[in-house]
Amino acid sequence: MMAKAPGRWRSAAAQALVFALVGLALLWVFAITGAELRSRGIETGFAFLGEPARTALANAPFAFTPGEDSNALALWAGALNTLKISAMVIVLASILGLGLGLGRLSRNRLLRGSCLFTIELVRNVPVLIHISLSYALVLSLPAPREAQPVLGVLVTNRGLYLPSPVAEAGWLLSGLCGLIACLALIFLRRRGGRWSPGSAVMTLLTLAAMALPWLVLGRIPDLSTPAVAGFRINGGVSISPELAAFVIALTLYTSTFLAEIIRGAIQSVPRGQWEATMALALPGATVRRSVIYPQAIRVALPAMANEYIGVIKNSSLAVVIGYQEIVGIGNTVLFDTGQAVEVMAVIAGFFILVSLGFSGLMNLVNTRLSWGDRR
Amino acid sequence: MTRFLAQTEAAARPAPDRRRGLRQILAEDFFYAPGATVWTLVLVVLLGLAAWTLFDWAVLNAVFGPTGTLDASQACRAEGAEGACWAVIGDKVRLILFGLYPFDLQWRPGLACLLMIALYALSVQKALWRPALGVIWALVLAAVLVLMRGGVAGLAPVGDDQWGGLPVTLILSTFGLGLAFPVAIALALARQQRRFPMLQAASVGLIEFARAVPLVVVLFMASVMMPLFLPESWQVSKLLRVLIAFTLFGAAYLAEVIRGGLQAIPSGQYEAASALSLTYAQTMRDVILPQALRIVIPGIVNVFIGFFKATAIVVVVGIFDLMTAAKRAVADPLWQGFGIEVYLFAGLIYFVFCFSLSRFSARLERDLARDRS
Repeated sequence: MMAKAPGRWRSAAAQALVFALVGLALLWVFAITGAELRSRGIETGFAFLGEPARTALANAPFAFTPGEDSNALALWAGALNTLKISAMVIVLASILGLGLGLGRLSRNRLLRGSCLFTIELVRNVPVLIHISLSYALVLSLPAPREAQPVLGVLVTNRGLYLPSPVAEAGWLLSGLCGLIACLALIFLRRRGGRWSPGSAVMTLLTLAAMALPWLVLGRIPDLSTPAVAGFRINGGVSISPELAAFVIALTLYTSTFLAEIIRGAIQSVPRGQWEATMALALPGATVRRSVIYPQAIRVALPAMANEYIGVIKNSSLAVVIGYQEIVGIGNTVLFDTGQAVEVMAVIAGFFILVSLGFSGLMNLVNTRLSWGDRR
Repeated sequence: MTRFLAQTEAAARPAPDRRRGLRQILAEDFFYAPGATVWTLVLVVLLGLAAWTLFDWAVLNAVFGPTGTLDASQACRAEGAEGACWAVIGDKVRLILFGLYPFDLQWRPGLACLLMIALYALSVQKALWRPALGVIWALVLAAVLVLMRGGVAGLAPVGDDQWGGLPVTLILSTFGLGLAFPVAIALALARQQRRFPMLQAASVGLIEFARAVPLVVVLFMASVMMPLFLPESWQVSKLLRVLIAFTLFGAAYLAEVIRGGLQAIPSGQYEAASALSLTYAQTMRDVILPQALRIVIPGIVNVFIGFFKATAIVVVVGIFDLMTAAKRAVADPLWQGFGIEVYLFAGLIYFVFCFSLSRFSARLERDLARDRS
């Protein structure tokens, strides 16, 4: 704090001494570790990454053959799985959290009460209990042979089966029409002429444009619907019970925290802003869209970014129900090779990289959104 | 001339009646607009259905124990037993609460749990926020250790590989927080000061590392890597290794909360201390920390709640806490498949602790905000 000339020398000397001691301690630890590893016949270094993996992966996002593909590829599969479940949870939890947060502020007492009840009930229980409970629930669903399809969706204890579009020109045309309509509407809105569509109108018109080719075609393009055949289920896309249970549990848990952030942010907008809009006789939807939410989102964003990083870290909990993301696969590799330090370093490095990258991204968004010192 | 001044004193009117009739409440809070009416009706139907389904499952069709000639497990698996099987809780409650602790000695972990709960109840009393609280913590934690370990005062020794259930959850979070607290203060001070840049860098590095990496990874490091780093004669039990990991992990989060409190202290306080020529240690001990820690107590309680919930993660390294005990209870072939009931029971225990602490923290935040304004 106060830097006097002799004090500075003393402080430099003290720092040098402390760090010499820390360095010695580290050297000592390294010496012990080296001896320990040698006595167990483990070779240090990252050469094991190039060697073929011994164990098969349960949920690999691409074809993976043990004995041929390397450990590095196995870890890469884990990293992709981590990012996949994190992205799913972040998107779903944001939607649910927004709903719960707005519901918490509703004038309707029943709606407000139900949201408060849900939030308090969910967030005061460890996320691991949610995951285990959700997995137990999914496993208690009917077996594929007893499951009744609802709108083409099969919900079974072996996973969730959804209908999927068959690769066909009809779907392609539909997608193209939707894209063109969407771009045109965005252009119209940007130009802000006499007719500028609202979000609801945009969504409806885009959907209508997507259905247009079906009218011309005279039928809905083919869907592949899941069907039970003996012990197997053919057709459609499937979501494994582990993935479904995990995403449901983490989404529910995270959404309650997001809801509280969103509620706090909206309540943090000064009362005067509401009163000013009333004085201007602005309609309710405009008030929220152009006055309240733009101010609230700037308050909420940093806290939400923290929550999103929390999701990426919490995705490692999938290991308890056997969904293989980077920590789960890292464990397998660790027990196959015995390279504890190196595997842990890879996993820790991955999470640090993702956390830093994500907070960097969020900072960028923050600066783009910030109003500077205009107020 | 008309006289405008009142000549008589008007009688005081009663305060407006703010009580609303049922009709008014319904009209104002539930059916004030078409949209609100739709929401209310939809929610009434949904909540009614959910409540009925739950009641049907958890009470009407539930199996609470042996029926007729069937023992409890058979009764739960009998044809037509569609409801909850609470019999599993009755059979496994001692395992879930106390793990594999010797059955006859389970009053000891029970007493230890009560002691720690009493400690929380004491710690949240505003009148007790004095350094003496630290002494109380040390005494209670020592008593808990004696009760759990035994070996003195005629108590039979019990190794920590036999500890389990709720006391382990409470020990991990209470000891973890208690030990993390001084470490966190040191880390926060090291990060705040400008005099030793290398010390500051080390503190920032440790805090940011712990905050970027998931707890699961830290626990794996403690259980797999720590034995490699320590000489043969220093090997410690798994519970202690996990507790050390917990302490360091928690200290990083706690340090950030405490740093927030340090930053909230107006610079005039530092300047006044410096004008009185107090040393750095005196400034911190007598001026800054007492104020800063007071401000951040709600934040500390929130970290503790997070900590308490996070202890469940030790299940991945095989420490026998409440979560692991619940998992073990379902692993019994007799009770396989009744996970929902067991996890609900364990979840309820966690909920009671976390909910009461979070209520307390919210009240405290309101009180402090009022005191400041």
